[in-house]
Amino acid sequence: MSTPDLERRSTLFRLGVGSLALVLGEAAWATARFARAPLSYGPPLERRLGRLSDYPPGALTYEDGARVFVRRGPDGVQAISAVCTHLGCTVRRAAQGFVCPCHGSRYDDAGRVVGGPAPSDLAHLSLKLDAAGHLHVDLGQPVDPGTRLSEG
Amino acid sequence: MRALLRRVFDSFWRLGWPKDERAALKAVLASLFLHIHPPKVRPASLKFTATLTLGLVSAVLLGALTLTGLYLMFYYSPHPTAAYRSMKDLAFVVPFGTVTRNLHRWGAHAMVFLVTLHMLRVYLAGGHRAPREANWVAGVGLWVLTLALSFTGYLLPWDQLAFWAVTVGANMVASIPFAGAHLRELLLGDTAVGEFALLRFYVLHCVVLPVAILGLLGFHLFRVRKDGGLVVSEQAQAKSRERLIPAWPHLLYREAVVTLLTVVVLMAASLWLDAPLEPEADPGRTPDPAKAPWYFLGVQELAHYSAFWGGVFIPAAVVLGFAALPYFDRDTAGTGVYFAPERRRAWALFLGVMLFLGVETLIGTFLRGPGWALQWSPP
Repeated sequence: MSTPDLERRSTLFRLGVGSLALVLGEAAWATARFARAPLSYGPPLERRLGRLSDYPPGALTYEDGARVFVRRGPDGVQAISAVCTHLGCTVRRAAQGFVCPCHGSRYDDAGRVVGGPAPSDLAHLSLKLDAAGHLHVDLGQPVDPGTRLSEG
Repeated sequence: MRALLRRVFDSFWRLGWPKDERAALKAVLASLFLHIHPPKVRPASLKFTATLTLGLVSAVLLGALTLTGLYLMFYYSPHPTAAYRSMKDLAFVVPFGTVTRNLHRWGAHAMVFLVTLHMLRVYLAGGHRAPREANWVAGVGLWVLTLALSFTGYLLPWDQLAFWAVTVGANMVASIPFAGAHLRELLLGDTAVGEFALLRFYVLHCVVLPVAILGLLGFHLFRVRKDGGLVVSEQAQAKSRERLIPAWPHLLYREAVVTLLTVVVLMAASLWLDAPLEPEADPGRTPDPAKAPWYFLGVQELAHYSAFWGGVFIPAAVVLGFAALPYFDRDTAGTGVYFAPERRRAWALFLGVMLFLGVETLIGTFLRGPGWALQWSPP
């Protein structure tokens, strides 16, 4: 048997709880927005590497600033990312292919997964040559593994 | 002059040094700092085997960590260009800088170990069961906060361990389906571990998490009293109805001794052994093998099978499963007795989970070498 007065009171109570939930929800949303300010977009994606002549033909060279391996083969130059596709550690050159020191993912010479937890192959990255003869790698632009920058 | 000092002292401590039991009870009740204790305790709760002093030692370590952490903050600068240099300043310039950092590092390791053992002991005694469910959940929360403090703390030296452990940890977060990438950016404040991540971890480590853990510890201690003290067996409970003994001096003196011993052991360890510091963080090169601190090597071992299932799902399931235990284990037989035969299934299951985590940790610590490959001779 609720009197109209008590009914009004419980309606007001629900209204109060509802507004509180709304305010808290809004505060949570604002906090999440606040926490991700567009102050940094990470390190730059395009990196200048050495001159073509810095890379001996037939060799694999590690560029630690860009975290890429540069291979100069008979059919052209390619860049293979050294970032393990599992959890982002830098892979190392092994006797055969590459090994990740963090969780043991293994890749062959072409960067294809051959063992361990890695979900996908090492990325092959876009390379270009500038007018001054420097190689540039674009870390944000994966390319087909067959792609080579021809030296011509 | 003497009389004046006497008057000042007496204005703060009105009761004087207690001379009889009645005065001792009053002293515990009336003091802000002592009244987290009950005025009287069961003799059974004071036995060493009742607690193994694990909770108290953990709390003392938290106090030591708060104090040494505060000291370190005076010389530490949370920026990639300065953080590692502050480690070197502490090591080579600041008087007692090395020992302060050692106390903080070894205290943290000991706290992770002892909080885990404390949880194990409470469970084996049935201390998670009604009416103590909420306090058990609070305890699981304190365990998680202890690990979170360790995780945020080890980015701060900005050495190789710091950089790669947090890179891996953040990428585990990113492996969560749907929200992962967004959560990772929220944690790092950027797309990679850098100055924003360091500042974020610094604020979490020095302000947010300490406030949370100290607040939750307050609740934890409050609930120990409100839930009727430590869990004891039925026989001990029946016996204690006849005879309770005053907390002052019986409990307080024991606490003082354990506190002193904890400080002595921690100090001895910190004078003896220096906290490791790897080369400065180098985003281009990962050390081989790149290992997390020992308490996360179990998770690292699991993550080596699968980033999401081993690194996120299993750890989260263990934490939530632990928190849910008292709401399913509702029997009362055998409460307050270690390894009670009535609850064999319950403790066997829990021990099984802990053993699994322990074995994974041991494998990660001793049996993993370069390239995270199995090796049979420990390094």
